[in-house]
Amino acid sequence: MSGLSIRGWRSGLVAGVLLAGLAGCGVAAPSPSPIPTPLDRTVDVDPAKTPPGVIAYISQRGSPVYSGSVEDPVELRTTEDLAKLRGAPDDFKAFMADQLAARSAEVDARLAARKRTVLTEGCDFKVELRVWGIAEHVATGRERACTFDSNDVIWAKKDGVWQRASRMQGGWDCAELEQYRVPADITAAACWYGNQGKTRPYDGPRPQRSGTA
Amino acid sequence: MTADGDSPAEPRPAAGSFAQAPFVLVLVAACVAVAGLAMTFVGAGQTGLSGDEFGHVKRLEGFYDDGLFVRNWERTTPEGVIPPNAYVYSPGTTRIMHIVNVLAGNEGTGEVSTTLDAFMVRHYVVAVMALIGLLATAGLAWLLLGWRWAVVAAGALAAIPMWTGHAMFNPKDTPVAVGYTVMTLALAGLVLASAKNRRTAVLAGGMSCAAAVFGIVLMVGTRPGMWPAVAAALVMVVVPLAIGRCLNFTVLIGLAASLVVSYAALWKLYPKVFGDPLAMLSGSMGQSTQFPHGLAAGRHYIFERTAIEWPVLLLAFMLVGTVVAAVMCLRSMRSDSRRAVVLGLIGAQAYALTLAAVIVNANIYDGLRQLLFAVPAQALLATIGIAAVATFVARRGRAGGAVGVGQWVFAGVAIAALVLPTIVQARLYPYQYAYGNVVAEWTGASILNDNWKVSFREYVLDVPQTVKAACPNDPPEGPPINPDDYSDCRGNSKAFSAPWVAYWHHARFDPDSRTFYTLLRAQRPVPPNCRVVDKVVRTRNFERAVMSRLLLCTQRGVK
Repeated sequence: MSGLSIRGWRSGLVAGVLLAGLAGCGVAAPSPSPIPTPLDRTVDVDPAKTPPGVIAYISQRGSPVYSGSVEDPVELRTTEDLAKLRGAPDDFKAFMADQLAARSAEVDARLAARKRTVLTEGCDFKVELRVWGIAEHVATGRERACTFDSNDVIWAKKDGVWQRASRMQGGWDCAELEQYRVPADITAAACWYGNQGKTRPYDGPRPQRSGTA
Repeated sequence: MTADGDSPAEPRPAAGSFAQAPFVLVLVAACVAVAGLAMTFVGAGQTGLSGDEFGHVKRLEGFYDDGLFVRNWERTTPEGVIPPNAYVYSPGTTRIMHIVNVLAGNEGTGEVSTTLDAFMVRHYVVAVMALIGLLATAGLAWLLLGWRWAVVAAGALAAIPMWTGHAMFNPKDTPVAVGYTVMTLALAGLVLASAKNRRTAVLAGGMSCAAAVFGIVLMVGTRPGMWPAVAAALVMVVVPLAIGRCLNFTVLIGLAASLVVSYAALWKLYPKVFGDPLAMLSGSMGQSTQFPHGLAAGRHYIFERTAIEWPVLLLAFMLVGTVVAAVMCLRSMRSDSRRAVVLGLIGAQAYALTLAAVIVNANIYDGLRQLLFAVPAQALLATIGIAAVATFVARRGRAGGAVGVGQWVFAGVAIAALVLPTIVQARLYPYQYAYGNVVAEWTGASILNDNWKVSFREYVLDVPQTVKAACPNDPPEGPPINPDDYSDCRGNSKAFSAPWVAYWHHARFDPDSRTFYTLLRAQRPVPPNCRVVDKVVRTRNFERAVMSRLLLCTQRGVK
């Protein structure tokens, strides 16, 4: 139902509006939104056609508006699952193994702080790392852990060492994707820009200028 | 037992006992009733959402999924075994809301929406039910005392802040109260109709039975644990009529038909629970009195909250009316048993389950809202109290010759009883359920303020898209609040989510950011790593009352 119908009902209550309007000073009922609805964009990914050096595990890139903005990521819950990372460099697999252990330790610490020893009912895993894709210097995915919120993650290789570079809930800013030079094939099809709730298509980082003027 | 129609009754069983309501009081009561309804309907659209509403939406999802009106965390038994909490609530009201939402285009059949529009439609359904409750209360007063006192009764109910406050949003307590009041009115109508000639008795009795079915299904179909209210009402009908030798076939057939059709409707409404009557009768009682499985507040709680949450003058009139109605009921048991039935039904609604809750030390919490079903009957008792005082003053005036002063003083007090709480309601709007009377305020008694988080809607514009917002229900006192302990409350459709999402559409934030927002109910202390950036404040009587706070917090001191 649209908001118009609601307003239509209200308009039938003119006397009530007058009375309660006198009574209800200060009530903030937000007016219709000035915030534009974000772009709803879906792009298929063909792993065979990704640029050299880019490994895409996902089959579809979606909008950051929806929590499942990509399809078919690799899901890692134990070190045995690392074999699913086809084509991934060994140092990234080793880094993922370290991340599984680190996130698992965080969950254990959180459970201990709550004086509990078992996972929340409904959790069928303690930690899950979802990998969307890997490039030479950057990888993307999502951290999920029982008792924690899920976060989108950018893992970046700095000085030859993989590290967790940035985390976000609800989709990436375009500036963040540009900063880490995330290839289009391993992230959502759209990104946020500015502070007005707008999105734009994301088709990869702009080419870097080379040389000097 | 006598044959139909051989015991004529007065058209108004108690009208002859009382003086007429002064016209000025009737006029003021009408204005109060209209103001209460206006605040209810406009407030239904403007006020925020309570966590209870979200809970019921999730229960309806569960109902459409597997026939059990429970949330996922309440599914504590193996598959095929009814979980205990399935007996606490029933989808009566939520299914009505669903039908209206389907008609409004917010939901498909069997789908449940968590959009703001869908919640607003649910609010309007509650408001319409509250209107029916108000009319039923006035109807009872009309049956008993005539139309002038009926208007006063409507004004008395509208003047009670907890009634109007909950009428804007409460998906369980308000419908239960409305269903109960409609049932009381219907049974009173059935009993009075039974004294008429056969044609009138059948027509009015049939309408009463239909109303009784609606009332019972709405009440028990929203909270199964209310079935003892039906049992108490049956006792209140049958016993006085039997004592007065007025129990006739019209009444018996009407009662039987109402019960059978009501149960059939309840079975159709919620087959997994009402399909096994014995399990429902025992399961609903035990679960309702213990829910939500904690320590009961103690037997004094109901008396204490009544002294806090009732307007003082109306409470005084209600106590007078209780004594007068009880005396009238007992005195007329043999001489005019139909009058005794109507008074007994009102008394039962006002006190029977409340007394039972005191005796069994039921787990009553969040003030008197679980006992909201008693409020319409208590408003009627307050009306009887006002009528009794009016009669006393009029008789004294005639005897002493000083007609003017006493009646004007009475009229002034009665008008103040209706107008003063209505003015306070307007100042608290739309959070009237946060009312505490002036004595409670002066003595520093514990007044609940916005315990339901409904005022969170007012922070929608203050919480930007790009910062985390936590809405902890009951954070520990003392230590800094840790944002990792709470999910962002814009993504889980609870009290803050629907209005926020309707405006901003989507939240995104850096989980490692050093700042985050926290929305807190007023009763909760401000954590040491937070500062207050906004408050929702209303004036209650003479003091400013904080409903809730918006805090900007940092990770400082968080371990």
